[in-house]
Amino acid sequence: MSITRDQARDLARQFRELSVQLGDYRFSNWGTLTAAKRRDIENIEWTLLNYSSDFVTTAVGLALDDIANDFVVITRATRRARRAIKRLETVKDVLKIASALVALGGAIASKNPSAILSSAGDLVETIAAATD
Amino acid sequence: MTSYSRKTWTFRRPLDLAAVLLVSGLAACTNLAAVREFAKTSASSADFAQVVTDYESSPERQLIYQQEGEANERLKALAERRKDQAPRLLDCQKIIVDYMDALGDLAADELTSVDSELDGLSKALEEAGFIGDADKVISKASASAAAAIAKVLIRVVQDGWRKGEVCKIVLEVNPHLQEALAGMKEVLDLDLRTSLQNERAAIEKRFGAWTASAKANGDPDGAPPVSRVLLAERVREIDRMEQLLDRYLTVLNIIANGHLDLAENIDSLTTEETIVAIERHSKDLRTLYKQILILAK
Repeated sequence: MSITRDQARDLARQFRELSVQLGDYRFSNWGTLTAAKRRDIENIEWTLLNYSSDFVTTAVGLALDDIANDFVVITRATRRARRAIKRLETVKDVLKIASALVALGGAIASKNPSAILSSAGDLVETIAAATD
Repeated sequence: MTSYSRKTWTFRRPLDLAAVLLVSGLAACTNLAAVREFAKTSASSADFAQVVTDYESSPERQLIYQQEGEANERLKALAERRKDQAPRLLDCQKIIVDYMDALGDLAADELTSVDSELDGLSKALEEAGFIGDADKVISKASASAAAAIAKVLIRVVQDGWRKGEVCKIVLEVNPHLQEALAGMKEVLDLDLRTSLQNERAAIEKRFGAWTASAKANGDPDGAPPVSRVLLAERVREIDRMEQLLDRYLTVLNIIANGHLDLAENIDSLTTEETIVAIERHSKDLRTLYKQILILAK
């Protein structure tokens, strides 16, 4: 039978309280308890406290399971936002490529080989940056 | 763009110009700066790595207080379980940070500004000889007017689409973000706090035993005061971790409330009242983040 996160939290609280109460008893009766008895009680205290921590860890795991689907939706929305940003940036890239194309056209019209080479290089760089 | 002449770039019908100016005026009102500010501040404040580290390493810290034995072995096994669990907690944080970051980027006004790109295109056209004042295809004055109109039109269209996307995303995510943040708040407020309370109980047991033993053996003035001082020192550290938890809880609350404000006022994001409310959330987050940085040191 599996437990719910609320049950795990309740058990964590109860086990810690029991451990603390046993500790208080041990300290209040230190002188009347034998060393062996004190050791036995202390061992039980630590066991109870560690069980409590175990239940805390279980509760965290169950809580994370319960919200896992919500995080899937948030992740999907993040991807959508990133795609939207990319789309908006594409317009800028198109304009940059158009500028580089016009420059290349002008260089070809001027029949200047070095200008043609330089403009062609700029165009390649712009396209590469836009498709990055 | 069939409503105005390509050659002269003058509007054929005055109504068209009026319509464009009206729409551009509306777009100018669609100011997502407050959304961006809130989203970006949330993203930078949601980092709760230190809280997760405190939780993850708690069993290891408790080991020194416990005696060797069966209980000690259980604690070591628990330390391993928490090591495996910590990445899941950090993932939750990362998903929220990534979302707020992307929302902030999408709400950035400069995203839809193509001014520099259009200026670059105009310059390229002019240098290539398509624009000029002699017998060029397009006069400089016309080209300049065309560029100015294009800047507005592209911005209007893009801003409208962008605002629509921000609205859709905020509305779609809000119920899930509220659930996710509520779940995380529960984990912080109940589980991680209980973890610290257990650690506090472990510390008090060790020092309690020292004090009780000293008193029972006729040393009420020697060891007990020293024990009290050392105990207070250790407990202060737990207090600091609890304060960090409280701050992060407040951060998560502000993010949840801020996002809820966004979702509930998505149709009136431009009203002064909404902007002021969202800016207040951003301001609170910044203040808290500074305190968290001090506590986490």
